Amino acid sequence: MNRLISIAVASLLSCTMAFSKEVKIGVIMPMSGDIGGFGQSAVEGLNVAYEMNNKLENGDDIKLVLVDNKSDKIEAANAATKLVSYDKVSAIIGALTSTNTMAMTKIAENAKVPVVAPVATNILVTKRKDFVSRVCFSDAFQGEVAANFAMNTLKLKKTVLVTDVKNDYSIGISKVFKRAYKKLGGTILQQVKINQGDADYKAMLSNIKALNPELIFFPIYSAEAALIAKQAKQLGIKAKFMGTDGMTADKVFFEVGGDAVEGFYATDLYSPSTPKTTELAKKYEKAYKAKLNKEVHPFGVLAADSYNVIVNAMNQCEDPTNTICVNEKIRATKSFEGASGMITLENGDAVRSAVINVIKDGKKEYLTTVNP
Amino acid sequence: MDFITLLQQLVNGISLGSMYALIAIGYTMVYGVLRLINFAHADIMMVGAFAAYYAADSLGFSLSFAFLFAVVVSVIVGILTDKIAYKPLRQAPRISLLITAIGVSFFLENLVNVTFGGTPKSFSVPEFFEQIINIKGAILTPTVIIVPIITILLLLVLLFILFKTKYGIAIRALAFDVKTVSLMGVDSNKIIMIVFILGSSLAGVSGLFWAISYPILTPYMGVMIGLKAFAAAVLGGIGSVTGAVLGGFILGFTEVVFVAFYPEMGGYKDAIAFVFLIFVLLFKPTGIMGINFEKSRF
Repeated sequence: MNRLISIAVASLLSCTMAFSKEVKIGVIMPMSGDIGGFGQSAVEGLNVAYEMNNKLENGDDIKLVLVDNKSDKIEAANAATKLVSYDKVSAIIGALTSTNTMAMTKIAENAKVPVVAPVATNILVTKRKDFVSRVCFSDAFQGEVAANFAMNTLKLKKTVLVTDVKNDYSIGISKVFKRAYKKLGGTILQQVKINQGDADYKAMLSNIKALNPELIFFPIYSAEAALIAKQAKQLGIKAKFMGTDGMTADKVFFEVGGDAVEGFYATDLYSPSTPKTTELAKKYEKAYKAKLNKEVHPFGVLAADSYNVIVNAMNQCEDPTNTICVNEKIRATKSFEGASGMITLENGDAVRSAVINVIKDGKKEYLTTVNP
Repeated sequence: MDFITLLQQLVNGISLGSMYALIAIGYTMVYGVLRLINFAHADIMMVGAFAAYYAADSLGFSLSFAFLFAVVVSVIVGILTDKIAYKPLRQAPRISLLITAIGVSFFLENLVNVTFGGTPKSFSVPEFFEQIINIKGAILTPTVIIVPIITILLLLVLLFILFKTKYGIAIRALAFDVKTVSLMGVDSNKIIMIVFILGSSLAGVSGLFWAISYPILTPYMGVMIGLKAFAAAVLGGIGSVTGAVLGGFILGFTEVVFVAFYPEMGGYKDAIAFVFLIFVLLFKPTGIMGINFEKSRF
């Protein structure tokens, strides 16, 4: 009798398992710490996409497992270990930024779990990695766009470069910019180095002021950029400033920067002002605005597209938990209609255009689009 | 480097140095009495900065009220850490006390992280502090003038308390020998509380000024500042209040001078501060004001 019951229970259990299978996608984001604002914007955008579609085509439920990496690379690696060994996720979105993503890709590679990074633009993120992809462009492109814009459009020939040596993203993009800018005939007067988390930049800026550059290019994150902008204004530095996507991503940049950041140029990954090329983009923007009542954040829409690309790949696999198949399909993504536009991946990198904004009245104002 | 830049760097050094000095005094006070490196001190400063942020941004207080609020909150946190965390360990070995201090530091960081959320907060600086004063090409902001003055003023007040009041005598006596002083009828717990009140209110003041000068607040902002202020206190001779102020200024100037002359190496400026500290300690192990703890205090 006992045996009969247990068999019945077991078969019942296996039946329910078969009916509502659950596919887990891990999400590693900096929800707190220095770049907590980045992670929160990304997760907001991701949740909008998740609410629009949380089922695979074969009826399986998708579950997101969010882990906070506390803006720290060691925590990012720990989070990846937890996700692959404990939660047994089939794919990972994240670690969001370059430094943190690069700290965790090795773990995902070893476990053969595909990673899709929303905005990790450093060249090395996908280099010689079979399981790492991204839905943004790499800095090989962004650095050139910035250098071209500075030389050809703004016609600024003397530049001081500010690099954050604790930040792989900043180091990578500085390198590309430096090379491209020199090739175009520009002069780098000085390359100054800072540390993420520094607060006082007056000594460095006083020196820069004496050099009298035409442009200060600083591919760094929001908090440091805002403090530099503020102190530069206090010291009366007249040079133009240009940053990259990481500068404007946290609203703290505008709050602290105030009128000190007016007229700053910034390259970006996405702009809500560009014409929508896909159906999903229109739908996504509508849902985003209805839920969050603000303009679509570039990090949010790219986190959403990381999710969409993974779901699209899973739909093409017979078994969505087969990570090797999912990875293959992710990397074969071609002309996928995402929320941020058409997405095509080449060797794990997305081929997409860059946007250049200028800060006006405490907001980003769209200037131009640069195609690869 | 031309003259104006040099003048400007001098100003930068003073402004940064006085900030370190203000925080270093708190370390030195507690160390002098309890022989405890109070790692939570910089986090009390952070709590002070967040209290000012909360008072000004959420409750809409004016700056003077926000200032008062920051100091009161820091003092309360200071007293509580003493009563809850340190008092039960008065008889315990020093190492337990030290580890407790690190624990308190983590606790405060995470408490603020949970209550305010982990994202960086922007402190809205009052108009007054946004003014720019131009002296022969060198640019000053009001904080650059106010902070050093307050630092020196607080130093004088502290010296007055320590050397001219009864409580000061009790504090110095306690630093010398807790047991004997207790036998003389002095309530040592009360005196230690006073030390914490003094130290924490200084932390509150420095928290507010830090927020005004560098208006981005994060729960972990105290970590690096604390390490540097501690280095400043050691440099000046830990236990000596005057030494702490001196150490703070020296550290501030070292950093500024290093960045000014080697801008390409700016990423290593934190390391340089500590390398400098090591060199001073090699030649003068007790720090600049060199206190011999077996003989005298403060």
